[in-house]
Amino acid sequence: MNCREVQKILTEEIQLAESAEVRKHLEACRQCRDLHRDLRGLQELSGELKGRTDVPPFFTERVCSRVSGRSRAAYWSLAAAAAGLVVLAIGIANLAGLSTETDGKARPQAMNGGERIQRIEPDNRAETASRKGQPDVFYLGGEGWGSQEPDRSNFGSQNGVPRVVPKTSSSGYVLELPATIEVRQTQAVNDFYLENVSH
Amino acid sequence: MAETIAYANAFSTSRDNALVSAYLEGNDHAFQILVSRYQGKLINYINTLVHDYELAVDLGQETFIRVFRYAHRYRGDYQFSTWVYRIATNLAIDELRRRERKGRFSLRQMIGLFEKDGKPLPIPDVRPSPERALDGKERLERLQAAVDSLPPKYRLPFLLKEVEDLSYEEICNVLQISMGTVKSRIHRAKMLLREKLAGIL
Repeated sequence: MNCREVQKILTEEIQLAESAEVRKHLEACRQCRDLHRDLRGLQELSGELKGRTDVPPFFTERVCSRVSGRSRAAYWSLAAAAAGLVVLAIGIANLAGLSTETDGKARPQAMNGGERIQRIEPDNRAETASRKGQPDVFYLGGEGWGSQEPDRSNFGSQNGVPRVVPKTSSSGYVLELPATIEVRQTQAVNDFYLENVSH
Repeated sequence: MAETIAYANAFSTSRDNALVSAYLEGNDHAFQILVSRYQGKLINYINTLVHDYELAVDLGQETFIRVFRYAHRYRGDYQFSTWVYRIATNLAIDELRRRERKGRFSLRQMIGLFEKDGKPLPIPDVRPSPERALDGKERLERLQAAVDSLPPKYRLPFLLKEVEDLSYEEICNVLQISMGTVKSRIHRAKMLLREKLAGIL
């Protein structure tokens, strides 16, 4: 067996290199022995390219949904189940306190320095503002508005300037507004602004 | 119940041709088995060619859709895998050509596709520096780069043989070329890769 024949075997069917005839040639021929070593290495390294890519979830179902009516129904039932799980997860997250809404009502909100501001309901606010000498207030933090009488001990608005003070009795902050300042709401539900008014 | 399980087991080990026939007779489960059987290899194969996982998944899906849209044309006188790989290969090549037209080619892919005359472009030196040995990941990256730099006519038969484990006969049917051409191209691919990867094999 000559080099040409051996090299043909090595590149086409390297497993045949175990035959006695090829092994005998390899022992005597360094060139073919080096080729054998390199092609073995190439075969092993190439093998590592196998199975490196994951199949995404529901791949079969997605394909089925596009070629078969019955499979399409199965796919959508799975999709509906997945959507249900997402809704359930959101519900659990809300119950766990990720949302500050406690009474189920949609309340207008604004952001202030990363803190969520809960605004008073318009009717409650009117009631609060009608208290003689009492400032209009906002809570910031995780409390429901109006569920608890605010701690007034830290209120100290001076010279008509609003200010935010931490609550001492619980977490959260209180924003004090002097009586001369009102919160007005534009037509957009979440759009609020402060306005100087005289009572 | 036992009969159902036995039936399902027998079905899952059926030959591809029998599953295609079952699908054409209205059995969707046969189709699902075929998809499950080939999806992993197919997506991996396409990803090796296009280097874009999301695209590989999309093309894999498109491959199966085409296979089963035209299942009635499958004659069964060659292996089902051949048909699947041929469609996947054509889709991948179409995508690479589309990228070429849009100019969204990596240098690596350009080296592979623009070489039409069989004469290799200057071979990048992918040999490791002598100071240190390469770890497994680096060796694999070098292999991938070297494979990508091969002209498609060498790269495709090499991948089908060495990575996808197709027989020479199957590769002939996938690429629609003769047995002699398949063997000579794989031989040439290995010799080029040996040269490019000298020192790390």
